Amino acid sequence: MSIRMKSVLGAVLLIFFAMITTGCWNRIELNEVAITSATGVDWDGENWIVSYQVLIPAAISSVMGGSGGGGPKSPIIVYSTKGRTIRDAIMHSYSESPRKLFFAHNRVVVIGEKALQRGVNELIDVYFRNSSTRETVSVLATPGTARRILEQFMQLQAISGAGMKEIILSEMKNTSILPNIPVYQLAMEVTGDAKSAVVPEIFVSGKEDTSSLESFGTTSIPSKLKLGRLAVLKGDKMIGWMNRKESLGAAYLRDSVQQSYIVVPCEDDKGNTGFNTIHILKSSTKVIPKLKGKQLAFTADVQVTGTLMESNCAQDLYKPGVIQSLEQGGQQQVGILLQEAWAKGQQMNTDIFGAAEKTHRKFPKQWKEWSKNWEEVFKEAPLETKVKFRMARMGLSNKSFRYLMDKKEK
Amino acid sequence: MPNDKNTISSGKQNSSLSGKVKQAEQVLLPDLDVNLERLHRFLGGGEDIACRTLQHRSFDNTRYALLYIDGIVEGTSINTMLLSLLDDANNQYSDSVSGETPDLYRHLTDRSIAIGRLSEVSTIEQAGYAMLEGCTVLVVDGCLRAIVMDTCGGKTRAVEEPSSQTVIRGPKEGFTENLRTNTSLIRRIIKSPDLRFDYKVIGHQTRTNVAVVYLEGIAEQEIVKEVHRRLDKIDIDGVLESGYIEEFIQDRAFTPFPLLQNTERPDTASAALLEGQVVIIVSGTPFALVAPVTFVKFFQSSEDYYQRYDIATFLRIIRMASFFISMLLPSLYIAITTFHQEMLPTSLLISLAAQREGIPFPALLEAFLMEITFEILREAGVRMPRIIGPAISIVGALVLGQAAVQAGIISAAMVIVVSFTAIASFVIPAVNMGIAARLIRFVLMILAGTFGLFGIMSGLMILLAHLCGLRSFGKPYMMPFAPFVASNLKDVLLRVPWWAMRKRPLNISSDNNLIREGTGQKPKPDQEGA
Amino acid sequence: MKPAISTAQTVALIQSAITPTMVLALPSVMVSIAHHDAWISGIVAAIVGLVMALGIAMIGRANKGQLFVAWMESRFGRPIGVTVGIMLGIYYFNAFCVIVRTFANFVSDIVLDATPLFLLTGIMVLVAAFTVMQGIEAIARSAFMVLLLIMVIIPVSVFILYTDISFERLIPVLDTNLVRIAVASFPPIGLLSEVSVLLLIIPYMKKPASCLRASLIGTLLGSSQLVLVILLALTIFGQQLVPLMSYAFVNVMAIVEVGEFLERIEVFTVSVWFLTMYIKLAVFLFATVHCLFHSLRLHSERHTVIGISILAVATTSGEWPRNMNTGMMATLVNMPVLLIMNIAMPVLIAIGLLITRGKSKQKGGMQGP
Repeated sequence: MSIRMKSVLGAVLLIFFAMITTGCWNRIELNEVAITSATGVDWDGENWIVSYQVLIPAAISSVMGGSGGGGPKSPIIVYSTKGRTIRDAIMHSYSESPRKLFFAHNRVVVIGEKALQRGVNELIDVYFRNSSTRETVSVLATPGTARRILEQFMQLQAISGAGMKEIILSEMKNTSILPNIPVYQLAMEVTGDAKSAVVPEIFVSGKEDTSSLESFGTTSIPSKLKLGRLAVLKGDKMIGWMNRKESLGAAYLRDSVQQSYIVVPCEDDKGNTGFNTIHILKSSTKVIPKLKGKQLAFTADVQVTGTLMESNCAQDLYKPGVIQSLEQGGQQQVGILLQEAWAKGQQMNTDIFGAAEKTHRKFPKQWKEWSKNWEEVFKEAPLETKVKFRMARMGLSNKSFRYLMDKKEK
Repeated sequence: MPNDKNTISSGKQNSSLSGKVKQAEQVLLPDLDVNLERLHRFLGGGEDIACRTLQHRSFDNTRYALLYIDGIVEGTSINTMLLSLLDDANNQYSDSVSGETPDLYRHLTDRSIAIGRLSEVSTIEQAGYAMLEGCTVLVVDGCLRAIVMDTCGGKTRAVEEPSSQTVIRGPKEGFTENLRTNTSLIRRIIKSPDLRFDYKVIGHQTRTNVAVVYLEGIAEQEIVKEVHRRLDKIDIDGVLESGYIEEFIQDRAFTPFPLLQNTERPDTASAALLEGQVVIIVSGTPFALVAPVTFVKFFQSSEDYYQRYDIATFLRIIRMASFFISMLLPSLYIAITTFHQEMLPTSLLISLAAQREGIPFPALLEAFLMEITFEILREAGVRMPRIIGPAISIVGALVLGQAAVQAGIISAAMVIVVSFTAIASFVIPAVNMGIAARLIRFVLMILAGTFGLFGIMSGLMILLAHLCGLRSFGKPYMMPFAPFVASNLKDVLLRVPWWAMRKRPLNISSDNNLIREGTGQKPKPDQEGA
Repeated sequence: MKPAISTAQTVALIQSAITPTMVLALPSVMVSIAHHDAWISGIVAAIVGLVMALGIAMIGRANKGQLFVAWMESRFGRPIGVTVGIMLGIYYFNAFCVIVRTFANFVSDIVLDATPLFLLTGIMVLVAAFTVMQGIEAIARSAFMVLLLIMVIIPVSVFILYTDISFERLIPVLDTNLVRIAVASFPPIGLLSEVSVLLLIIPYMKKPASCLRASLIGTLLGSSQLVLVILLALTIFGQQLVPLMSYAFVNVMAIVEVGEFLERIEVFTVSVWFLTMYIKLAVFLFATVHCLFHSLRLHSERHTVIGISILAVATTSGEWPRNMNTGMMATLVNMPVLLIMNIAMPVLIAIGLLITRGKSKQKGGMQGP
């Protein structure tokens, strides 16, 4: 009995010590990881150059908490490694970083134009194959090198990687010109029926870099990170840019507009022109493929609800017809946006609007034929726009201020 | 059934006796001096044995003697009795010679002793054991029997507010070390003829009195029988606390979880009786045992039923959550900060990482250090003399908490985790359940430090299987959940209003007596106004 | 005391004997075969599964409260009974090992890639063995509590994922070749056939008559979870991406982003799923022990559990040196074995029962008065 107890006890102790002493295969302490907040991917013609924006926690918490003396310290540090594949490059980081790179809190991956032109296949594979990387990381494109973007400081946000994600999210929520594209969505679009995708652009506006904390000693910083155009990918390779207007049109066609605004020209009774700014509260788009004979055509059915934000025409907004004219103006504007974007897409010969999927769903039988030469089918397909623009509110004042001014003059 | 039990318990008594005194039972002899001498010898002499010899004038100056053990008898009743006896002894009764047999024994029992409860014994052993219980023995010269008077008493603690299970609203009485006081406290609450007290004596040396209390007709007969069976099997020299008995009668020997509830509160005990549970009161301790219990019972306080049901429900959920916090929080912290950093929000991760800069120990060791420090502090708090209390708290709070963080030995987050864990563990109303959580916490911490969340889940699975396999007096421990008893859920995490709890808990109370209140008692203002 | 399992607990047992492995790797396999109509395959599989559940329950009903092996012996004589018992025992042992290995691979893919595999399998077998030692009743109760947990988690996760779901991705329905849909429904049918473990559980039920209900509901719960996972994966990622993911349901949970704090919760979801996996392991280990213990007339159930567990650890750690092969084995190679043992065997038993019906009546008559 006692021998049995002893042996059981021995076994338990043995397992216990085995666990305690060797039990750290996957364990990694918080002070052994280099938390990356942003990754940059560049292509120099032969090699991938991967850049990392690594957080320095102590510096950040002293920036955030305000405590901790001894001069300003940079909360982030940027470095790059080179390799034949992306993972190869990342592996090289072990020979220059004291800590293991940790990607789970990575917020954005910035891809340089050259790398984007080479293709995003590898990147997507890296993201789906490894459990340490997140598929929700936002993808951004940049005309120069990605590294330069990572090096920039940002106002109000110590971690510019997180800041970039915040910018794109708030932009998408409030103006919806550029969409937030997480890696998984990029992958979905690249592999989808249309085999085209878009990536928003981020760039440094300003000649000088804001890569030193000293810049923050003044009220204005030499340069800022800004969202710009929309990079268009065909297959997994970038083929061109869409300007902001076209991007907005594309956003309507992709039904990714949450809130936006639109500036509508107006004219008052006396022929003075001005502009009304309409805040778009809600928008939904249905792109419906139609068959006209053998010709494929699309109808974009857009429903927009807006509210007046600003008006500098001398108008009495209570007057009948004013609202209708506003709505008409909005309709026209949105219609133009859609057509421009569609034309640009056809010109670039990429279907970034998801028209292929919709066609596949609507005409599964014909799709088998079209899918072979979708580019040509798409190129020929005309777009008809049906915009329904509804003004929901006029804001807090019923008459424009200019209208009142004009009245007094009388 | 009661007959059964009596024979068993008396047999028990005999066997324990024979263990101590080898010779055959000594019967009382006619000679008073011999009897007194033998009684003294049986009790081993001792200064606390008081012996008072009297002579009765009416009965040819027959001698009789009072014997008791000083200190365990009630002084006042001894005095009044002695007064009346002396008064009686000096009286010359005229009728004593008029035809009736001059029997002093009869005279004393019938006319003279001013004590409520009398019984008679015929052997030295019985007399001696009666004296050890606190009774007074009256031996009459020439008589083969002795009178045993119940004068139990002496100095005991008064009924006070229970120290370990306090409430804001509710009765403030608590059990004491005295069995009789305790039974009376229950009697005063439940004035029912169905209330049963079955007494037993356990322990050869301590001869501790144990009362099995239950409500006939509401408690399940099987359970009562089982309690008796298990109690009767106990063979031990001494029982100093109900914990001794608990370890003998619980269903499974190796488990960190308490399989019997203990309570210091007569109202809790009475509530248990009303739900069909059996209460075991042990002399010498204010902690009564309640069986059978389920896991969730340990998260209920008697106050739940006195306060409004909404707050009671909320508090129960809080308690359940605190149990899990006190069991899991350190291990979750370890698992998440050393295995699954991705689960933390970025800003939290950064501040945790900043705190960890320069900390020399891995998180697991850090947590162990702090947890053990806390356990030491807690133990010190229980054991130390009250006067040094402030010193300990200063050392604990300042030196170990603040200084350790400032010195960079422990991260501030770990201190927060450990303190929160500690506070959460005090929320559980039942101390023994809190202890279970304390022990399991360490195992889970090791598992978390080795395998992360997978380890914690493995540990929890073992825990779940173990809990589901446990039984308390044959009743499944996880009762209202597994097996699922929907009607009992009214009083588990929720506490529905009293008028909605029409039935006693199924499977605990006897099946044929489940209804405890009338229907339609929900207050309806319209009708009352009319 | 004879253990008594309620009907609800039986449902939980069957549910957890089927689901965990099914939602693991199958969705991506099925989507790669049947594309965006994989969910139809799931429903097809569910229907076939229900028929199988019905059949198993019908066979089980013929059992009048005897333990499985004892029942087989009483109907077909000792040799056949023992053979059936041993065969099933070996099958369940094999299945147990495969599950342990799949589970260990999964854990190591998702979270613990550097931890030695034998430790993972060791822990799993240890937990399963401990659970089995608590008895079938404890397994059933744990299964039920885990089921309660799952029933809370599933609606919450669907709610969280709601904004990412786009049902358009399922259109056009029935775009895929019907043959492909049928082929895709094959793997889940194999796993759904594991409902046959019910035959071993029935004697322990409080109300054996309700086994039909239990098996149907259990199968329904299991297969509806499969369909749910497929639907979530398809509507969130679309048909092209899902085959890329080894464990679709993990990726589904990985994209959750609610505010700044509720994100990257897949590890948490997976942790809850661990519990169901453990129940499954326990059920299969129990089945192994049960069959071998009773057919070989062993003496100590406890020691049987310990022995089989040690054997299982050795088997799972040593047999397959390469991880990739195990995955293939679990999904494809194992399928015929599954079908033979879970469908052909019960069918044979059913035929046998029909043939020996008269005989047993005679026997009953003789034994009766």
